[in-house]
Amino acid sequence: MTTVIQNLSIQPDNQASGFSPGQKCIFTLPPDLGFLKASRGETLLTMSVRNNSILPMRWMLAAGGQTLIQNISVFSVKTGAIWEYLDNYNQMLYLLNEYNEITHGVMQTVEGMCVESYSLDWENGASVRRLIKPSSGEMPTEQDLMSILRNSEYASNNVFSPINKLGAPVLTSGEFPAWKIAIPLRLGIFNSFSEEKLCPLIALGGIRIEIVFADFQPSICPLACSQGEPDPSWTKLVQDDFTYNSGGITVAQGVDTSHLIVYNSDICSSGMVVGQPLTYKTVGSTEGTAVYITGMSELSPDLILTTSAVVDCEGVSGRVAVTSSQWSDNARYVIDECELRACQVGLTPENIKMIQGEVDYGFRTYTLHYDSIPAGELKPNVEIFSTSSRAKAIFCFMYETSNELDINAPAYFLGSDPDTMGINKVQFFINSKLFPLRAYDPRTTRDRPHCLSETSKAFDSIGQDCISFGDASGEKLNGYSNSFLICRELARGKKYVYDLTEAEPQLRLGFTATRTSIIRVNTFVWADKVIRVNNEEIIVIE
Amino acid sequence: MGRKEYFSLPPVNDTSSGFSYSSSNSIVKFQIPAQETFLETATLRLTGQVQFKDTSTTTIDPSSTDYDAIHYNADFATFQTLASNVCYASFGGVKTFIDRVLIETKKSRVELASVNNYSQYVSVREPRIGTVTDFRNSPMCRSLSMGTNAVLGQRRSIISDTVTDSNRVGQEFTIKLDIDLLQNNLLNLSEESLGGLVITLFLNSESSCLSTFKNGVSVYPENLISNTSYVFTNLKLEGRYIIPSSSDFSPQVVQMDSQINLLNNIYSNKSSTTFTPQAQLVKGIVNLFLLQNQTNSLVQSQYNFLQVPGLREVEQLKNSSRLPVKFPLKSVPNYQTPNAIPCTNYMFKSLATNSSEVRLLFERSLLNGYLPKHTSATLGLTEGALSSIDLATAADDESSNLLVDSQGVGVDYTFGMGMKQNYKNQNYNLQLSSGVNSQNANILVNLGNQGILQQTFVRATSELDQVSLVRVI
Repeated sequence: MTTVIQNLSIQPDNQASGFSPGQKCIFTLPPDLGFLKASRGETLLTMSVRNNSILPMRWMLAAGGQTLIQNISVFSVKTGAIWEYLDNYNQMLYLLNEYNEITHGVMQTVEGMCVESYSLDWENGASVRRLIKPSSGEMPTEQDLMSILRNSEYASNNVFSPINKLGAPVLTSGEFPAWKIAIPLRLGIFNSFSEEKLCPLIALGGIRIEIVFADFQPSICPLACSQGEPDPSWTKLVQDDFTYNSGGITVAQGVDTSHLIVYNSDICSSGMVVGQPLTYKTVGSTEGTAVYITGMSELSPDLILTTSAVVDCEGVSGRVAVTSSQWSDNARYVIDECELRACQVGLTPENIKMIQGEVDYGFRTYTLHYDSIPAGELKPNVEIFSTSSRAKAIFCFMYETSNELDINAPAYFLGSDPDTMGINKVQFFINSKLFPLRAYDPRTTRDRPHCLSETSKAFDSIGQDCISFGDASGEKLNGYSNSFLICRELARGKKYVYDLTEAEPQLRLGFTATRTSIIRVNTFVWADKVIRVNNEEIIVIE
Repeated sequence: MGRKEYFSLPPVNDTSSGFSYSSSNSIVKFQIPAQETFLETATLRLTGQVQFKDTSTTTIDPSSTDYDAIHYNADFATFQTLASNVCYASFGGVKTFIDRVLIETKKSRVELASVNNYSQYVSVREPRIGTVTDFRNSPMCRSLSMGTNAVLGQRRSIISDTVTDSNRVGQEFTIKLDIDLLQNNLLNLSEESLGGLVITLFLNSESSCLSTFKNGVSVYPENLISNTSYVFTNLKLEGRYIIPSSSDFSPQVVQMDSQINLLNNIYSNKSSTTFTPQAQLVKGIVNLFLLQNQTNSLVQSQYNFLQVPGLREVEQLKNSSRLPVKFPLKSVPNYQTPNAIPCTNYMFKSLATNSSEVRLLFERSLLNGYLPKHTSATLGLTEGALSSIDLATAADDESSNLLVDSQGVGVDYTFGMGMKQNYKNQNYNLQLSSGVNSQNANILVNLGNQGILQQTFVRATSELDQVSLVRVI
């Protein structure tokens, strides 16, 4: 007997089109679908995403279209009980993709990811949050062909807001064109995080999936190439303070002008677009001048920006930098043609045997626990309120709340590194025991290898390959370039689990000094769950 | 396990001048004699050297002032004046110089395996085995393929040193023959079984495997490299026999992953092509598309597998019913999106047409239902190829035949679970809505003004009985 496998398209229960940030999309997968194959991305969520403002934006590079999903709930159709709740889904997927995917190759097109993108850069001995563009490495510039190759890697940066050859938005009827993404729904109940097996919808009595779309902030960022405050050492985007005379444009020190020059850049790689507002600041100043780009032209090897008003560098010593302004108030997106592509596996005598009698369907998922560390605390304990009896690993993701929704580089995704936060001691306290026996210092020049080793082991314990620790080129080898995680493996191997029911786990931290910002700690506790189905009841064993 | 013995066999028709299509010596024949041994096919390699010649006798070598380091480091305008304006496939390398492979038994000359358009299939699979960095760092360069690094490095592999020992002329290579019978099997070479093998390689013509560096036709006509040729020398078939002990066993029936090659043409923006592959255990079907001016041309690369121009919708049917995908796969956006702007106006050409689901299915069709972990087939690869085609008309000195894409339309029946579909006397039908021959201004000029060649590879499981020599597919 041949098993029937086919891909079906399922429409949302509530509406098919016009989803906005914060809205919910509901799918019901009835039991008569039989079995679902979804553990390796066979079941997809497809949607046409449209930037329906005229502001050029992009989504988070490592998460691609997954950025747009804030959380997912999975309910039992039969009992209404909630079986799985993936909070901060986009944050978790961002982390998994960073460590788990070495190339993002196929996903570059289908989800809009970049080939390489790293959360943290390492410049002059300190880390900076970076989300401006992927690292493409240093390419030789003597050959014209190389510029094509290099720039082509930026294509996925622009899928949400394509631009034309002059850097201006590509608009159709005043809006950007829609872009259809196909993202695998990575749910525990689909076995996306555990060994590959079919999801027996027929035994479970069907499931309902509720997807809540994320707010545009921090998921969507301006398509710009600036970051943070002006940095005197950062010379990428400057107004020239020397005479610059080429192609009929002359800019001299002390002369008012509406031209800015981007050194050694072109329209492709600068990320700048016509219509983009800028706040022009000089080094050391707190107030900026708001202008926007009215034109762009390439003057090899530089880029000339024409601005809406005069930008004045008179009397300014050194160089000045430009940051993009807070203009996302008008930013928005809309999702049309939202469909679930289900990979249905028909009933065969073999898999019918799987669902006869009492069925124990196990899968792996996470629960999220929030905590915050006050700015003045030097030796805080972070309580982890998990009572799972089948825990596998703990992932703690930390960042300064002051940067959580940063318009250009949101710490919600990028996190903060231990050097910036000043963490000098990490130890878990679980079941009245300390893990590891000696606290380690995760800072860059201290026990960083130990910290990365703990991260790798934790990924391994949840069945995910920890393939990449980020960019290891040059100076970047010294620092963290993926989002910083504090992890603890609880049970190694497929068969073993750790009982946290009465373990009262804590994360014990030490800081070098008080801080200016509260630190948010998002603790993801990965654990196995079992749904037990028999003639009398359906229960979840956590 | 029995004793292992290494062997190195020269072609039976070897000549001192080597093998070359242009010199009418384009068939390479190896004979593996009948003997009481097993052939460990996993170890089998074709090794040798390849030289490139700008006339029938002159090797492109660094001792010539035309090809010295200064010229190779010069900008492309200078470079284009040289006869060494030649390149081969970025993906596939030397493998793409082989057009067809035929394997027969030595005792009765029964055909055991025959693969047509070998080079095309090899070339489209290769991007899925490594990233840009992998191609730069790993032994995959043994086939002289460099992936997207070819724009930097391939010019170095074209030149050969003729000054030193003549036996060392040419770039050395070693490749595995990706033929179904020579995959991971133990073949019994005894008289009672296969009775030895005759492996025949039919080499590709120069116009099929070489092309000008640029695809900007107007400035650099193809006759610039019309005398260029390649020559294989010192060819050897190398591998390992197993001298079986009493406990060794070679299965009488060996299973193989085969592919059947079918061809068709598409001349319209609405097309429907139907095949009856006559295979029982079909794992997937891979459709590749070539522009008509890509074939038999020294100007265009034949290994640039672009997506169907202006692709809008794909349906794949079995016996007039959509299977396994029960819905049409649509591109959003596409060239007919209301108020769509011309592709050439986009900064990134690959963003004008997006068919993400088609792309996903194509990857799965090549890799038995899985997605590649290490791949060069990214959006960046597509972007490079499309930009280069756009530049061929706008700035031909910046376009290149080494920036190629690796896309197509495929269907996977395995789902990563080893499932198969029976296509014995049953029809496969591919329906495309596209921009082929539409002359639509929103499609790049060089893409929407011509028909395309459809190459279909039906991936199927086949079996060969080593005693009766009956092959079932």
